[in-house]
Amino acid sequence: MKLKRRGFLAGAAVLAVAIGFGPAKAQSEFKMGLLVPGSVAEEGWNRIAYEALKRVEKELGAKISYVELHENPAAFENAFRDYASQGYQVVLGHGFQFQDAALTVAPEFPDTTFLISSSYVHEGNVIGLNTDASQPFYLMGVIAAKMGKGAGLVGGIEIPPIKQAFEGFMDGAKSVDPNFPVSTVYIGSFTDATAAKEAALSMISQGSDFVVPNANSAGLGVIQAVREAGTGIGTFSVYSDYTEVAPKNIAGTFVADYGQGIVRIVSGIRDGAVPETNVDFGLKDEDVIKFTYNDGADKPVPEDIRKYVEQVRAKIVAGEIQTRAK
Amino acid sequence: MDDIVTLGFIATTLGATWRLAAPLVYASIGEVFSERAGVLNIGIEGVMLVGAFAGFATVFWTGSLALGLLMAVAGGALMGLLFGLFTITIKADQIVVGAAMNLLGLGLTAFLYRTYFVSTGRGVEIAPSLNLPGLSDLPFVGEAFFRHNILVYGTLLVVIAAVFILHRTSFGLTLRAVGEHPKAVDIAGRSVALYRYGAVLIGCSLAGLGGAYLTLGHSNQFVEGIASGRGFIALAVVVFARWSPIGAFFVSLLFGLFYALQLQLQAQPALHIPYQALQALPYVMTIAALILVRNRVDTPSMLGVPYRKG
Repeated sequence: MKLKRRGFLAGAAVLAVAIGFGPAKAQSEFKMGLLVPGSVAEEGWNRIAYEALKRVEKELGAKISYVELHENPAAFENAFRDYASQGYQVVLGHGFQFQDAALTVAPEFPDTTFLISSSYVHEGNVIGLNTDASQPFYLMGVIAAKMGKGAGLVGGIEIPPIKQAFEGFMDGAKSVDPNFPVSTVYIGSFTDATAAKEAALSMISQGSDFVVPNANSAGLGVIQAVREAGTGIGTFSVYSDYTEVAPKNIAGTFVADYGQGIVRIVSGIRDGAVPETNVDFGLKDEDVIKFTYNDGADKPVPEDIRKYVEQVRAKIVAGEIQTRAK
Repeated sequence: MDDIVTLGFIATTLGATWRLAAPLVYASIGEVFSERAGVLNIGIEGVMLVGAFAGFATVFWTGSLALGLLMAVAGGALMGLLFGLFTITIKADQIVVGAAMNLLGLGLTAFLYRTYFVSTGRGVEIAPSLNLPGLSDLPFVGEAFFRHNILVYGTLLVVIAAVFILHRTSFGLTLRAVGEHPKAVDIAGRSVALYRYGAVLIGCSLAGLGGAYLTLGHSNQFVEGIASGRGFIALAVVVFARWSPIGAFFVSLLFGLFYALQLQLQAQPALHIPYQALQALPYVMTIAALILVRNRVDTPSMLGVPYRKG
């Protein structure tokens, strides 16, 4: 009995504090928590979220915190609950795998917004964030079909983001010329630059004059094959700017600044503008998805094609062209 | 279908076959030395990564291809020394130490790469293709056989040297005896440990060279995990080749052919074979090889067994 009463008293005291001082404190301080599935010390996926979190701290003056959960789904719900119960207004689960845990926890904490990377979810205060690579790839397909005779796509592993991007490319090319040949190779790895290079070489020998990688660092093998093949062959730099690796061959560069997207959404939430749908960053978000031309290329994209691409871009932004099956 | 099997297609495939087989040739012939002396080194994937990184880093900083290859061999040999220390001197389990070598190679190279190279994609100058007067310009055969770089042609040199050393020298005879009947070698007054160290060092040096081929003879980049399983394929090549250097050369070519074919065929939009089936080809081959070659007569008798005196 004694213990129970003590527990009750303690609970009541906490409740009183929460009611008395909680809201006032929450208004004065904006807090964002981050759940990452791996180490933020490594370059790549987890690092992107960490950098974004640091920018939120710097640019929005937020108090930040993060936790590395690795492959431990049992801890996901607890981590969300920890942050939400401490009054964090935004918690980002960096990866599709966090979605279910967020959906379970979210109804208990209506004042917290749960953001989920690589997700299309929108249920109450759980909002999915995604970058749509199929849109810039659609533009690349248009350019390749306008300028070339055939194109090759070298993918790492057939996962949805890569498959959707490639479908965007093919649709873009077919919108210019329905018979434009596009071949696809998946090398089955994100590390095998050797295989990526050979795949690109075989595509070039079969008549492709644009070969585009989407295989993380293995894609460098493609850039190198294109560079060795010389001036007649073009490519695009994807996700990272590799222009200095093949300055004569890279016709354009697509870079996604997901961190900027996160900063913008979080800043909106701080000012009371919680997104009303899931967020899908595309060409309309010029601060996030950047597609630029390389004027130093041997065969730079001609002015008339750029004008045409600009029209296509406008149609994609307006929603008149769907680059991805919904 | 008709337009697929053209002379041009065959020439491209054959050229790609040799290029993709080259790292396997180096690594598998190296492993033949090691296993013939009774030391099973499953860590060559890790050794290849060290070679790939050491070669890349050296050429990146000095610009000298020769120095890069030398450092790749030295890096491989250093890994071999470590492996030998644990398996030959300390007599630890070779499989366990080999597995540790793979982890060490992957972790160490990734760590060093991230520490010293910002991943801008900046590469090195790879070994240039040799232009053989007359031969390189021949139609068909020129593309297939005569436009490769020195590291691809080096595979021929390695196989000839390996056959000579293993079968025509006293060192080779003793080395093979160490794998079959180490006690006899011991009684004859020669050090089993020393020969095993020699075999492992040769093996790991060649594996390092095979790794360097990836960064200096093919891609001009180091990518974390760039060996991508080639060290393990090389182990299968050795079994398939019945521990013969010439066999290892041709079996490597066969694996290279399947690898080249699957990349070439995937790129054919007209063919509606699921790409996963093509991708699996080299691995299906490996399994087939292990099933077909179940006759263990050629296996060195003392493979994987540490030698204890007395």
